[in-house]
Amino acid sequence: MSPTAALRSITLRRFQPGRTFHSSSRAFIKVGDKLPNLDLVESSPGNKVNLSEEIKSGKSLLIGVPAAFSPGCSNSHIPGYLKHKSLKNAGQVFVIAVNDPFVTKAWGESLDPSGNSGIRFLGDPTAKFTKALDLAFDGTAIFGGPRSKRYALEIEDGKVKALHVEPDNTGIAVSTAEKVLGSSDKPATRSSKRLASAAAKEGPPTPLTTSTPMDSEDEFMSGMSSEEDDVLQESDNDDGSADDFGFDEPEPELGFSQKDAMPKKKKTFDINFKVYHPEDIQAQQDDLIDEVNMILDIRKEDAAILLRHFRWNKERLIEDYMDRPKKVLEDAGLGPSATGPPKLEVIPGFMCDICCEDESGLQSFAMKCGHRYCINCYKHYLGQKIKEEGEAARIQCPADGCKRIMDAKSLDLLVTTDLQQRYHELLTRTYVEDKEQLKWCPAPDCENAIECGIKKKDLDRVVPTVACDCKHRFCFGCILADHQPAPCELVKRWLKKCADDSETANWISANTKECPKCNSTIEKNGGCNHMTCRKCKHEFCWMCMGLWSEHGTSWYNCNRFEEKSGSEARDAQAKSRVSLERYLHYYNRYANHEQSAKLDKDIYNKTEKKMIQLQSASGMSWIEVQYLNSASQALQTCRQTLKWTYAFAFYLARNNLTEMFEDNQKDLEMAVEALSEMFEKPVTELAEPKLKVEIMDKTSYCNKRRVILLADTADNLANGVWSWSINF
Amino acid sequence: MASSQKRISKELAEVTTNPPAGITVSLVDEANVHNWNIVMDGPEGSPYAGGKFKLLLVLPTDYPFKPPKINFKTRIWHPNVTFDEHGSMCVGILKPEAWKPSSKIMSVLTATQQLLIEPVPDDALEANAAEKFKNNRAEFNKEAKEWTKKYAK
Repeated sequence: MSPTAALRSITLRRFQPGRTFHSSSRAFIKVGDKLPNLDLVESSPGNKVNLSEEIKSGKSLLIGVPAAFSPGCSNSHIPGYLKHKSLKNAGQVFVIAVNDPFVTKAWGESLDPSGNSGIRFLGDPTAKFTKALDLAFDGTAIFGGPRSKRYALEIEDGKVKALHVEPDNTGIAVSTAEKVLGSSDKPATRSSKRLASAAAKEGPPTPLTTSTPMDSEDEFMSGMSSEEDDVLQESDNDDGSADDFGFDEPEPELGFSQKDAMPKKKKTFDINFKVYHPEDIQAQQDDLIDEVNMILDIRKEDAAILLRHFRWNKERLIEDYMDRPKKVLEDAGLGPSATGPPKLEVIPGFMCDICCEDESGLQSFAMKCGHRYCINCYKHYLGQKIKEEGEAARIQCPADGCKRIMDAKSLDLLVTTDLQQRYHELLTRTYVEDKEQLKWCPAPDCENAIECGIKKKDLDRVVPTVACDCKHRFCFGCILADHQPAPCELVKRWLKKCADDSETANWISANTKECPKCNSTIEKNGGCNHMTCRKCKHEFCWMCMGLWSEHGTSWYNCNRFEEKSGSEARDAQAKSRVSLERYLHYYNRYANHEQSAKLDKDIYNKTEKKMIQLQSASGMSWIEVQYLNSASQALQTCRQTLKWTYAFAFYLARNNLTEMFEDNQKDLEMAVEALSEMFEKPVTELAEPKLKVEIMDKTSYCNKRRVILLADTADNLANGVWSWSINF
Repeated sequence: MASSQKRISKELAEVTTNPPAGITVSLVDEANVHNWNIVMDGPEGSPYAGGKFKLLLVLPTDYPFKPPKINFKTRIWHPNVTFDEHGSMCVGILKPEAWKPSSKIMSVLTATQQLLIEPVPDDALEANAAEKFKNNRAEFNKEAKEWTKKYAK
């Protein structure tokens, strides 16, 4: 664990209770609240300032910022206030940062050297004041500890009159001078204006609008219960997953009520996952891009390229960028750049270096690297990359040796809409493929992706079955269809063994014997009982398996079955057969359930049709026949589970646990067979109320038995107590 | 494509009027600018010195968006060229992921020349030649010279 990560997890632990448990009593400071009676410091540690005392009457304005000297705060946010013509009407103005007083002093002097503005810069070194307002967020990843959200509080006579809190903690949208003091004829800097307009698109920023959309992880966690919550949440945050900055902390009250509203009991073998539809995947990318765009103050297109270059690891991107911005940009194919939007130009005397055309009026384009080519060549080049090579995130400038990456904005300018569409599809694809915790649903025609925190190294302890919204259930570890309770590695071996062995094994079992001496498998393809092994030249009798030489004169008439050599040979033979028979025992049951599941489904499809007829004949409603649907689904899932219990059992060593497992297996199997039998009854019988109740009971019994089996198996797997007959 | 015609003619003019040392270029058929005959002298200081190697350079129809193909017509014993009638060659600039529309034939020719001076045994097509090049240079040089004498005169 890197030092920052360690620090972060500590801070998170400290932050957790506040995040999970505050209810409405400790939300953000509200309109009408008084300021907390806590000290801030100005210029030096000894110089304490108590705002609740200092601004008891009159108008004043408190501006909170994430960090003194950070680009956003220094370049646009505070200067916006300094330049604003209505600043003098705002009363006393204080800027508060979670920094020590030396830093805030130096920062104040750098922004307002003359001190004419009257703005006072205060430090809140322990974040005590900021936390009391509940306007702190965990900024460990960038700033090394808790920081202040960006906000502006309008105070009148010691009470809050209005508050403007950035919904994403650090953005510069609702707390700008323009928003707080009213629009000024002197425009704020370019970036704050751009951000403000970006925010405006999402919805009008009004004071107290702090309910940001739930961030994905929290929404996902809120579906869980029990103490696992916090543990998992922490570990998720530790490994650098998408949202671990805590920048998008949800509004506490909302988080609380959602947790309350979903008291769903989790089964031990259920794992946490979330299904994302194509639009969610797009939105996630957009959010990350926006965030990087704001934190690093770079163009959105460049932020996107950087993120893709860093395989969407935002944290590493920001850390690396802070350390060596030039190198990061160059490596990502964003060398030295001029500003301005991409545009087509007609340059007199231009000759395209690719096609050598030089006619006048030829439109040309160059990315920031300055390599200029004509529009036709660009079109051809990009079309080939996108259509033929399926490339999107890593299309380079057409210049020989130039590693500059084509950005989305430039591309949109150059190609037709259908190519643009394909390009964006491909980009989305790389997003999912680059992220370890995201996988596409493998069902045909399904465009969803699943997020799950299970890592490769966890797969010997857990079987991560996930269910897509398209109803397809699959293993997040290996993408195969649901194979609970068997772990992935076992499944892989089993499938390989089946592919290699099962057909041949059946035939071998029926038609061959092993040579008593060297165990080679021998087929008797006719003729006499005097066998000579091709391999070891051992001569024996096919009937009694005894030595041929001991048959003496009674050749061709084996009557020596009780002889010693023959019975020993048969014992050895039996032993070598046992392993084969054992395999076939499990394989046949495995294959049987696979087959039966298919048959059950066929029967259901037929029954469904009949049920529709029956509905009209008997007057049963659609709802009333749904018990058949539930029964069918129970049969499908239970058989899927049963099928894999046989592969699982094949690899188990014999002990008490295995016996308990087999008991569970037997119970489930009997229940399933019973249900299957009822299910096959003709439609006329199915309509009888008695059978209907029996089916419903049996369905719920099957489901219950399945849960018991899976829970038991999963627990033992998680605790590592199964003993195997082979080494995994 | 008309545009590729223009580009090819321009490159051909450049290479024929101002050819790189030790290389001569001509069209296989005057009516078709897509097939070029190359004759390359074995570079001095390499075991190929003294030999004359014929190569065929074929420009695909969507050149320069796709890389040209180049093959040795003269047999050559070299780690990066197949020692058969195809004479297929492995050179970095011609790999689809490295080729850019603005890459030039001139650089393909100089890269090929460079490959004769300095084989890249880690990207070998002829394992035997690469092995000797790496572990027994004297033996390699001797054998390469012999083949040069035999085929490239």
